Amino acid sequence: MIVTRHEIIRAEKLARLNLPESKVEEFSTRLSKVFSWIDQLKEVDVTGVRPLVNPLMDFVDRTPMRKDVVHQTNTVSDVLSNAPDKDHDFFLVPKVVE
Amino acid sequence: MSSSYWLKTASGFWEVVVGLEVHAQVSSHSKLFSGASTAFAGSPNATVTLVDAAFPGMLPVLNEHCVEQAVKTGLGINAQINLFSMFDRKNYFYPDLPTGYQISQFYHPVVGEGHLDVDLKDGSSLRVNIERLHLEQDAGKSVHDLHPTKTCIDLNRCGIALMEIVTKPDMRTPEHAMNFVKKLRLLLRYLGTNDGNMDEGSLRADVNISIRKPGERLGNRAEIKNVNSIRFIGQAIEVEAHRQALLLEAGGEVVQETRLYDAAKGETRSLRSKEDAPDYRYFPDPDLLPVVLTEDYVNKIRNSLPELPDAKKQRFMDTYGLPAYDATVLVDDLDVSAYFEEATALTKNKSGRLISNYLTGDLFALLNKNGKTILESPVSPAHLAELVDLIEEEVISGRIAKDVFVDMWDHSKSPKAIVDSKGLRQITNSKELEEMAEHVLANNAQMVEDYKSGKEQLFGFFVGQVMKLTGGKANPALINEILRKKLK
Repeated sequence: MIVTRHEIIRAEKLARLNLPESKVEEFSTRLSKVFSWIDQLKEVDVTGVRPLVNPLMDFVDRTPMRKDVVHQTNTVSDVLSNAPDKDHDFFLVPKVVE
Repeated sequence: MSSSYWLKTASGFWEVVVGLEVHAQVSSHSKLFSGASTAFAGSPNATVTLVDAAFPGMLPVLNEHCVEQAVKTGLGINAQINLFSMFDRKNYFYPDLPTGYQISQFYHPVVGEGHLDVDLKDGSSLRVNIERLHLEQDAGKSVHDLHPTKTCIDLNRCGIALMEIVTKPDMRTPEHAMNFVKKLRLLLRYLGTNDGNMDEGSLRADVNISIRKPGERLGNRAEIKNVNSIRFIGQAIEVEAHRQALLLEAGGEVVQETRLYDAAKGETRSLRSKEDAPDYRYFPDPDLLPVVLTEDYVNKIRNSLPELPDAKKQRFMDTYGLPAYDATVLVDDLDVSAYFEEATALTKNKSGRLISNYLTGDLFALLNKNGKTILESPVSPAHLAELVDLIEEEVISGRIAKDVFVDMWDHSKSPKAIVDSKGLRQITNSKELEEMAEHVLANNAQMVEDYKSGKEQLFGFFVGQVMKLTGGKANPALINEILRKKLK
């Protein structure tokens, strides 16, 4: 499968990446190879095979659940510890124009 | 379809087609996938765990109570419960969503098709079919006006469980949509799965609106995002349907897009068009395994469901002979129906009809006037029951009861105490009443003559005069009986 230039730009936009113009062609070639490989995988007959979401599904058939109990050990400062910018316990981000 | 509604413009009539996506916050102590509290926090980022803030390596663990609440709600809307469901990632970037995706249920929702019957003003009922109900996470809050150059992010709400309830496009009028949301809100309150508080955003709706000429296929729809009051839902439908009709008549085309309802301006405006529509790239969340429920589990929840509004309404009508309208008024508020049942149980004859009359008449009027809720009523259910007993035992007349009621409201006193201290007991001594009747007839000899010669309408006058002498304390039936005898 060929991943077109147009699709690369769309993926770039969706992933919020900033791809230099010079790289678009290169990624088109590289991703086309990946998708060709996927096309090859698609040839396998998977009728009757349950879709695998997580390799654990072969061992555990359902997601574990917890009781509805409030349990929080971290603090506001923990939460904000990696924030590049913060003020009055808020994360600060560039102004989002509504 | 009952109570049709047609939008009329220059080119004639249009049919309005409405579908809803209601987002209801699940009532729970902790979030859907983390142990952070859902309680309102006074300060930003106080109820946020490292899971909610999307720290690397943090994994979601599903809250079993939220699943139970979704199943309960599903049973309440008569829906198919899916014993197998899964969580998917809905990918989009926004600063108040730190993971970059919302965990939702796209491919396999926990609840499938169902329906809700909605009461309409004209007494008819409309069945609105439900397409699905799924669980998902709420996002955080962006505050744009606190800082001159930055947007402030508060993640307290981020990760709180929501139920998204999607209807089929079965509604045709603003009333249909408004009453659907009212009914759903009431149901959720009865089930205890959502507090129904639209002001605080715990219940909000996206409204899909399209119009078509009768009999034609569905037109393109506009989606009005995040409408947070029932009144606004009605207004948005009216305004948007009208906009679409004028647009089509002018030769334009309705584009499928997301719009916003501006209540202050009474208009909808475009938020983003279809070309800019986000591509969410849903895929199964590899951090979570499927949710597997059993028939047994679902049946246990089914058997624990409380009495729901429709059943309660029917019971009130059957047991107490209440008219449908009165029963609806009582059932529409859980606190009011609890008050009604408590008071009725305390009366000697289980006099639901009289309790209902006083409750929805005199008591509601005073509550409204004083801006109080039923829970703040100075008249307790026990006192109202006592008053009704006094009326039924003919200790006081219905007229006197009205005055006693006002006294009960003003002083929170028992009606018996008021009746005794004011000497309001009905005169049931016929001797005393006979004397009064004779007195009245003797003083109005001419009228008695007229009555006897055929002016029968004077009878009411005599009753009134005797009643006046008793200060309103006589039993009117007894006065009637005495006067009939004397005037023969």
